[in-house]
Amino acid sequence: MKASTRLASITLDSEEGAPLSLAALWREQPAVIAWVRHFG
Amino acid sequence: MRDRLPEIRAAGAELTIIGSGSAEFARALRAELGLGDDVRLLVDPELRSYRAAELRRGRSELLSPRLGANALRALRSGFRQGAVEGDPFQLGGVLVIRPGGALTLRHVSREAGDPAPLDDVIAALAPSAPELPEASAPSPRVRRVAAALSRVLDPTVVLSFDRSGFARHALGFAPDDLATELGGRRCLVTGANSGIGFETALALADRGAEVVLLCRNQERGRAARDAIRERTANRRVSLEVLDVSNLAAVRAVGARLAQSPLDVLVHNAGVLPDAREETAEGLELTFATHVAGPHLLTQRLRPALLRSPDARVVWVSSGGMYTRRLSLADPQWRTRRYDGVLAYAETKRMQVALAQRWARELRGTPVCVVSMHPGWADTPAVASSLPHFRRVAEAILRTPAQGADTVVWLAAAPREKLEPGRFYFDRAPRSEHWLPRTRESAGERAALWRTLEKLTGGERKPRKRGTP
Repeated sequence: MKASTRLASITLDSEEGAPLSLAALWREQPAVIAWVRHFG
Repeated sequence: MRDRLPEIRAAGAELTIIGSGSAEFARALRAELGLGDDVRLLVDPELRSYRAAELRRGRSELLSPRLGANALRALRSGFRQGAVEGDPFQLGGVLVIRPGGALTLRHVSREAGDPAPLDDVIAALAPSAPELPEASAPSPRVRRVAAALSRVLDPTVVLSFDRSGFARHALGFAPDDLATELGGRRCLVTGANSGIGFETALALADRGAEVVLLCRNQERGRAARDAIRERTANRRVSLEVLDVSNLAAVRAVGARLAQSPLDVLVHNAGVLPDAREETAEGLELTFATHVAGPHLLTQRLRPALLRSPDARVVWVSSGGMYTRRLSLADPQWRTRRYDGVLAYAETKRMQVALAQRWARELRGTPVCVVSMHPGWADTPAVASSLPHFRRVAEAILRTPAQGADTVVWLAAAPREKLEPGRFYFDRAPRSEHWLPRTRESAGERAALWRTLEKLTGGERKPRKRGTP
């Protein structure tokens, strides 16, 4: 299964607590998604 | 990456940063780095997206000799390590995904402070950037070691059916088998609203197939259809409400679905009732759902399957069938004290025998009939029907997607890799019997066929072998 399909099922919160489906990230435009080890 | 933001924006892309800490730490990071509103920050304390992106995690990666150089480079670029929150052993990475889901860059950090080459990130945003393959094959040495381990561990059953078994067997998978587009293929999956059926339908739709979900419950079926459409951007996913235990409904829906050529039929719908139940037509529910209904559906769809140049019929059986012998003495538990688990296992044995018989029936045609078992997967059906088993085994159960992997492989892999009538587990043909006492004869399989033909009102006369 494509990585984008696996990710598309996931919804995460922004730092303000607003939920966002990851599928929305690349629906309209290319997405650069960077995972960091942690915040801090 | 902050310094290259103008180039990312110029390419029409957006940057999203995901961290494993809390929202508070995310806000602190935004302030520290001076990030504008055009950079999204998301929090993932459960690391779900890290796992979905297949990023690395481990202690040894944090002890790399290159770590000092990485830290020095980070300091020079203005980064100051503050308090840390989140999983300290989780590493990062970068993906570039284009509309439609094509992956054009995949950087998985091998150690702490191993950033993606930014020139590569910018290049991956170009319209001409090629889509990356999704998987790579392990080395021959790794495959040999995994195969040797499987020879030792598979006989334990637990370490074969569980998630460690899948991980080990998967080292022998050919990644190109499923790197295939299924555009133009029409697939039907029964019991597709959850668990293995859902994951099968999702994976087929993800590869561009037209997928018809056959579900008992309209509401749950619609939810599954909408979720698959949303996740795959494939609009050719539809729902047919069908209870496969209802033979009259199977006849009606089957006749309608047989109007167009059919390439894949997956018999996945299953039940495990505690007490004996009968359908409105007087059939025992497990037998009707696993055997009589699917047999009739296959008969009804046979003309559509024969119109495909390369059709597959996949019976999703269960490893539990290894304990039972094919018996037609009392297949519907009319005279025995009912045991739901045994009824389940017996009908799953019937499915394997029936797949063999169907393969013989369709020999010489483009239709390949096989059966398989998914191992122990953590599905809603297991949770509701076998709660004690799930409680004990929860930590070692496969994911539903892992359970569905071989179903998808049987539906999509190159035809020359499949042997009609065989029983598969983790993309390999396996023995249908572990115990001599469970072996049935071809005559007993023929008797099962005759019983079902009589029960389902089979209209067809026996044909000569090798003719459709």
